[in-house]
Amino acid sequence: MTTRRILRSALVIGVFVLLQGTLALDINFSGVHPDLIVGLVLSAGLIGGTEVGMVTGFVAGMAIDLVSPTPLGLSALVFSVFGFVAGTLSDRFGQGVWWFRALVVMVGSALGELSYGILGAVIGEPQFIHVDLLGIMVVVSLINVVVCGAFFRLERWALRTRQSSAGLVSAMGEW
Amino acid sequence: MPINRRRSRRNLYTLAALVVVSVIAITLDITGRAHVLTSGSKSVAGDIYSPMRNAVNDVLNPIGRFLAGSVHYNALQAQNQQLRAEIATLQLQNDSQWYQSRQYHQLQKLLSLEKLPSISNLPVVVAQSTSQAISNFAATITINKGRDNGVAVGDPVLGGGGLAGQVVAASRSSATVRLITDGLSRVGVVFGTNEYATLAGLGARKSLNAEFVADKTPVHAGQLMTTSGLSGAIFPAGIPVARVGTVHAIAGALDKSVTAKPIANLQDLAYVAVLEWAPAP
Repeated sequence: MTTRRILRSALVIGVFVLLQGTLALDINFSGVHPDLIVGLVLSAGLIGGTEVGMVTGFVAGMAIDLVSPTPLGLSALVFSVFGFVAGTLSDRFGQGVWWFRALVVMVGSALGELSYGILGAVIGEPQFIHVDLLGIMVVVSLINVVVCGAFFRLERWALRTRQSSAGLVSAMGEW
Repeated sequence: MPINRRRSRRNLYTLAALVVVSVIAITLDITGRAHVLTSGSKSVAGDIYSPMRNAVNDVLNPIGRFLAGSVHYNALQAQNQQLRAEIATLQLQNDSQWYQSRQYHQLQKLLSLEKLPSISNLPVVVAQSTSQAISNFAATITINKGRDNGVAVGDPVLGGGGLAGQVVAASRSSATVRLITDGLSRVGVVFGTNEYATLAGLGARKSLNAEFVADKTPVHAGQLMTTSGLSGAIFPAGIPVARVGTVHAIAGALDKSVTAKPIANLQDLAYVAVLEWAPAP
């Protein structure tokens, strides 16, 4: 990855961590609010491949762990694995049609939340499975599938090469 | 060796390294072996993140409220109809008066709590709640006072007429409060004629579970539970925590199944009071 791509990716992660702590908290269904970070990580894997997916997952996860009261490293662990899986799917099957990517984001978001809850309980945080895990999976996956088009466009902008770079506007034009 | 295979092997090694680093971080955090390192890094991150979040909140709040309104359109429509009916009888009051009186009542409740004998001599920091937990898996709030104002990790937090929670992280200008409904929260309480129990959180918006209530213990719905303040307790004695909700005897079990409803309205905490108190060593 070039320095510019790294900086742009870091910027996207920073913006999403801020959005997660602000705008996302204003939207909630029965106390469950969106988890934009897992959607971003899956999109990074789908657009940028395995390496980008897992590194984005680790960095974004660590960032969110640092500013939330949950165990440090837990999100980083889950998100780096899910970024890796999304990247592997992308490497193996190509980026595919839009519905394939949307399906990966939807299923990946639900499984990401489930894994986070189960892992949290395994490491000694029983409240992680006392929460409405099914509700969280449904809300998070549905919201992420609705907004995943924006995730893909942002990741395309962050990861664009010099040859394909005509700025954010052109990246926004691609789905 | 083909390039693809070499690349996928390298990716696997990278993933393994990231997993190992994450597991080390988790281990250090939950065992508390490098507490200075983990809580220190969280504190520094909080110092950087809080002002940025507050600035973004100021800009995005109107958008957030609009989105929240869109999401809950049907519920809001029903509420709207109900409010329209009420408006006819409440024409003399306006919104600002209502808002001020709501804040006034919350502050009044705080002041009355501060007069409790067990805590009346303790220094108090009054703070505003600025946001709820980022994670769906924790019941916490963030307040706008931190270490610079005297807030420290472990301080009890009062609000809405009762115990709200405990400070679990403090940066310079903000702090995170774990609410008593959080799954990790445990509060030792006393009720009735000197009966003791432990209230355990079951998650945001849920009742508390009263543990260790022996089968023979006299307990009934509506009974007040206050902090016990036993030796080594993490809260001072005498703070109202909850009222008994449901009581069920379980055949063959040593303990009763008892739930309790927090006295404080934890969904609507505008102001809280942080007590500068530490348990006796």
